[in-house]
Amino acid sequence: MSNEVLKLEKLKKVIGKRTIVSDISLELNEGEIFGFLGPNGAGKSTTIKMIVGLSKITEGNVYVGGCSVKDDFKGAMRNIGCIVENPDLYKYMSGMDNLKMFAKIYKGVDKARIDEVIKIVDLERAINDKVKTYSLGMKQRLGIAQALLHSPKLLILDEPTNGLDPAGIKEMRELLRRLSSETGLTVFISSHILGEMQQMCDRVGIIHKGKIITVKSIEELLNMTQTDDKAVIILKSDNNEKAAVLLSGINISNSILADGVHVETTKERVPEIVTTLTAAGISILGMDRQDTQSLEDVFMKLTGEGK
Amino acid sequence: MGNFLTLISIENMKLWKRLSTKVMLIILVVIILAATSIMKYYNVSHNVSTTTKVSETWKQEAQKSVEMGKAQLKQIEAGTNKMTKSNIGAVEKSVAEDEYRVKNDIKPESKQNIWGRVTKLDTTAGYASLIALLLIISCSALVAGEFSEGTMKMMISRPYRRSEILTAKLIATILYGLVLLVTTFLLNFIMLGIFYGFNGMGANEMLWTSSKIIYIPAALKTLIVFGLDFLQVIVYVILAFVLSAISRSRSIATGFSLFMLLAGANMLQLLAVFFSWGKYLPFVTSNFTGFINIGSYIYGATLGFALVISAIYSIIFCFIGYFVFQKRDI
Repeated sequence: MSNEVLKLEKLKKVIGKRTIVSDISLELNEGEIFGFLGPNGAGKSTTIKMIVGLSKITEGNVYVGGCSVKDDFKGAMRNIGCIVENPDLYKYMSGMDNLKMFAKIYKGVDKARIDEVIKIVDLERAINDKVKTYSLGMKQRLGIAQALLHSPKLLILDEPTNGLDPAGIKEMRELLRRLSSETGLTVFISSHILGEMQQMCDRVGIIHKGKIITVKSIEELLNMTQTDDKAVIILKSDNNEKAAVLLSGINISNSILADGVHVETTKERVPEIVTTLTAAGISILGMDRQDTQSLEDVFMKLTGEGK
Repeated sequence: MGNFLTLISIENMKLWKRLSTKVMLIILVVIILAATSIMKYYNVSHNVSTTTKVSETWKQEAQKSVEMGKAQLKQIEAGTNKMTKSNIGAVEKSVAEDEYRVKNDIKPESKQNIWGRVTKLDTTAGYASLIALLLIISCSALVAGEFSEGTMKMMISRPYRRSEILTAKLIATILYGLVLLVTTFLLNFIMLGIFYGFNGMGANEMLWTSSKIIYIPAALKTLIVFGLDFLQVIVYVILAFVLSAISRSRSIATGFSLFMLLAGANMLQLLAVFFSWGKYLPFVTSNFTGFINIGSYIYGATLGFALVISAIYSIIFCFIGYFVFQKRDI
């Protein structure tokens, strides 16, 4: 038996005559955090719904911890904890009652485990309040708590950072990192916000118009479209105008912008720039490398949206 | 199986955690207390006697009404007026009762026994409809409500079959119905007993089965009446349940089911008066206790027929509901 926690096999969903997603194949290994990335309407939620049995699979199959969702639904679901779309819990009950109720479903989830989970998501203070009084961030955390109750192999989160403030996002990121490194939990997160994925995930799969375009590690993805080692350096000095003229003199293209002189160059020529400028008596106050390739750019390039 | 019982207890927990569930129970209690108290107050303030004088010649009178009833039956059967034909059941019932009385020498009681009073109030006050109404509301909350609140997806992605989840909801609703039914019975019994006495606990009564009279303990008759009432309630609950699963809308499920309960069934009954196929329509004969209390109210229908027709429709409805719920993307 391999250690694939989640395996999607040529997954396809057709509603009416419209093909929502097709040919989705993925394999997730134990303990990895996988980002499922795509613009709105690309088919992220549809794919997730097929994994957790909310949507019927038109073609293909899903295996969770080796159990087929089609043939051994109960087995597959025992391995999954999930939040699909919004963390919709029973609003008229307290957080504790919600957890107690879901705990009943699985064997061996006792009071101690419930308390442990509450501690993990840091909800001790509000756990006895009614869920309708919760903020969105608290609901997300309660949602994660119910998903973790039965110690599943796979945690599926659909747009978990929606509506969270930066502090909340950071907290969630740390929580997920901790869970995957400490307990070997595999996490499958969908998002349309790229920056988050970059900081949270080990690998990313990009889905666009119902098809997976690429599956790569974050580093691979960042280096993907970098053909040479050209970089843009933002140079700050006490005399930007004079520096610009000097640089043009040694055939280095540049332009003066509000935050400094933007110099387009390769690594090899950086010492040359420095010596030229210092020789002319210009004090260099700072040099920052501008990231040429953010995930954003790669994403835009891959999906062909934007330039 | 143990797993399924857990699921029922989960649905039960959801049901009772809703404030409306408790409020509805309280409303029922208040209505019953008010109804029995107002009745007592009226009887006392208007000097209404709770006993009737049974004349010495009751046998001759009964014999006379049997003959009159029989003549009436002949007349109706010979006639073509469809409206009067629906009275046949009621006349048949009273003829059979009087005949049975004369034949077995059962003297009418001067004071109705406690069971008879409980049954009578239950029927006249229409507690079955009230319980049906409350159950329709809680059933649609449990099924359609979970769709609109988004919590249904939290239940589907669990190690249960969808049909199990749906069945657990139906069972939880029926259990709640039993609580309401038992509350209704006990409160009625206690209140009427306190106000008018617990007389005739071991009495026997006649029960009209649509074809003959059986002489059974009054307590058993009351049990049968409440049981039939509950079956009628379940017919409407299943309608609300299936509509909830199909439409996912609480308002459609509640609205349509209540309409059928309060007006639709009567409208369909009118159809059954004029067309002989009318009795095969759903809900036309679903007032089961009517067959016992007033006799058949639809020409050609008996209690057994009514039970079979309602069972068939309920099964068909359930089948459609389960089928749609099973296939649906949530």
